[in-house]
Amino acid sequence: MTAGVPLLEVRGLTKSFGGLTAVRDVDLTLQQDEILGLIGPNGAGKTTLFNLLSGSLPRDAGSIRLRGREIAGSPAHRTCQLGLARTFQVPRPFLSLTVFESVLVGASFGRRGGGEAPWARAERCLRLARLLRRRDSRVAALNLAERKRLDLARALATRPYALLVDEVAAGLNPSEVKETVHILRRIHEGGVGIIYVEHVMDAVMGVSHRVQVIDRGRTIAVGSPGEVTRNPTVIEAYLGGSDGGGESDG
Amino acid sequence: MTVFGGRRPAWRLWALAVLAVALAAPILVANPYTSRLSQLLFLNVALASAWNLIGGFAGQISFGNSSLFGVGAYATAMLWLAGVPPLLTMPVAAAAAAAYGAAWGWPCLRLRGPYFAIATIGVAEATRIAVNQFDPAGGASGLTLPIEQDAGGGALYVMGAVLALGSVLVSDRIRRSRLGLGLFALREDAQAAAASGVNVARQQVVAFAIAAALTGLAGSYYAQFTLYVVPEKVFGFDLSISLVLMVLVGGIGTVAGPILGAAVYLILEQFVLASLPDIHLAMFGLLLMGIVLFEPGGLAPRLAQAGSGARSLIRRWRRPGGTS
Repeated sequence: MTAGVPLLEVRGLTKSFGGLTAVRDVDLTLQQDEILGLIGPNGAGKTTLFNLLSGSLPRDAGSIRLRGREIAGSPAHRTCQLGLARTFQVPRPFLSLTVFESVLVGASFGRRGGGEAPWARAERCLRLARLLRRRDSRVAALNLAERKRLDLARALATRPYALLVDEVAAGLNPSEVKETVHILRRIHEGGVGIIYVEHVMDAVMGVSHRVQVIDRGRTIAVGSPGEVTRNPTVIEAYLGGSDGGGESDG
Repeated sequence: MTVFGGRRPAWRLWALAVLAVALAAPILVANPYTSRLSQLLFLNVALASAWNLIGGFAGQISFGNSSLFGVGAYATAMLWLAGVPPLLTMPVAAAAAAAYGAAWGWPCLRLRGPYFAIATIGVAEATRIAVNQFDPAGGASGLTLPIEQDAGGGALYVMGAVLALGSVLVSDRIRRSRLGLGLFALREDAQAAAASGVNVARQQVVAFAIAAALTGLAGSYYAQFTLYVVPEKVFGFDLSISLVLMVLVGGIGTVAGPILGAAVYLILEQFVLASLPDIHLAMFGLLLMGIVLFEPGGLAPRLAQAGSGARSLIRRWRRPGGTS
């Protein structure tokens, strides 16, 4: 019955901090069953965009529809319960809890329903994130790659329709990146739509169906990974841009 | 140490605690001094356990629990003087304290860390000053309760034991519950907890209201055994501080910590009070410094460690041929 309605549809999203417009009139569409890459130079507004979508920051203007339902203005916990979950650029673990307990938080407080006991869902998500072996370890004992996968497992345990993944490959070695991308694919195969912010180009270009490029708070290109990498505006944003030739943001 | 879930409920431990409290009763109640000591111990255990729900589990350090204690004490005192049997005033005391706690906890718990702590001091002091001015409640001179209706040492012992064991039981149940899991999560990282679906504001207010109800009950109990309530005492800042000290010394965020801290505090207070009045707080301050420097988790986790070490030692010793 939701056929034809995009999983996530964002229109005219805007956010300013004082005089700086971090996100300006951004439109974004995530189709059912899609991985959308979101790239852009540092400071382009990608993480601010995630904070707006997930309800961590109040927006100035714009609409956010999840499966046709307006969710803009919902606080962070409500957004999660409605089925839009996120991970953090720098993992934010519950340090004194065990790995299992951390994922159980997501499984206990996320979107209701599913007919599966929270502990069973927590174990399933741990297995998918390849952390079952570390089930009873303290989170404080995990390394960076494991913490990133734990963030993914915790978000997945909330039963999201759509998942916002923020730089899950940053700082990892090539084999860890490969493993993490594999886990993203598995999550996607499980029926979860993903918006994936990433600077590691191999990872994001390899896994995304479409890529949207953001620069200075604005969308400058959308298309397949191949189209986007050939786009002159995108090349300009990544390679030029910083010599101060362009107009400054008001 | 797992903070959530953990092993099966320790029924044997609970049975042992009830048995010990029951067996000690005749000895303690026989003597007015030990009778009063046991009442104070039960009071402190209940108060420290309640404080730990919000201070330990949710990580929100409150210096304002005296405001909840005072509401409970005054609810019982005023109703008692109006002719209500003291036992029947207890539910009212709990409800009044829970309502007051929820009313000021709702706005204040949006603050975190030192900001919350400072706000609680403000609320508690404002409450104390207001009650001081409130003539229907006796103003600054307080209320004296009828001695001829004293419940007697035995009844007060049972009431205190139920209050203390009940508070610890509530604390243990919350630790294993969904509410407890949400509290631990928001203590570690409120934003990450919210992103995982935890309604941070509501979880904290619910926990605070439960803590307030227990604190109000303890206030009611206090009124029944001292038979005298006065704002400087039941709404006093000293009381709020002593709870923080007890839990930090015993072990913050654990179920056993508040029990241990309450006992240590009482022993120290009695021991030092006899010879050097008013030095006990300084002594406790020194103890606290030692704890923070050398054993930041408090005494309980270290004792548990020592206990399990001793158990495994005994097991090895008992096992035939188990020399290693």
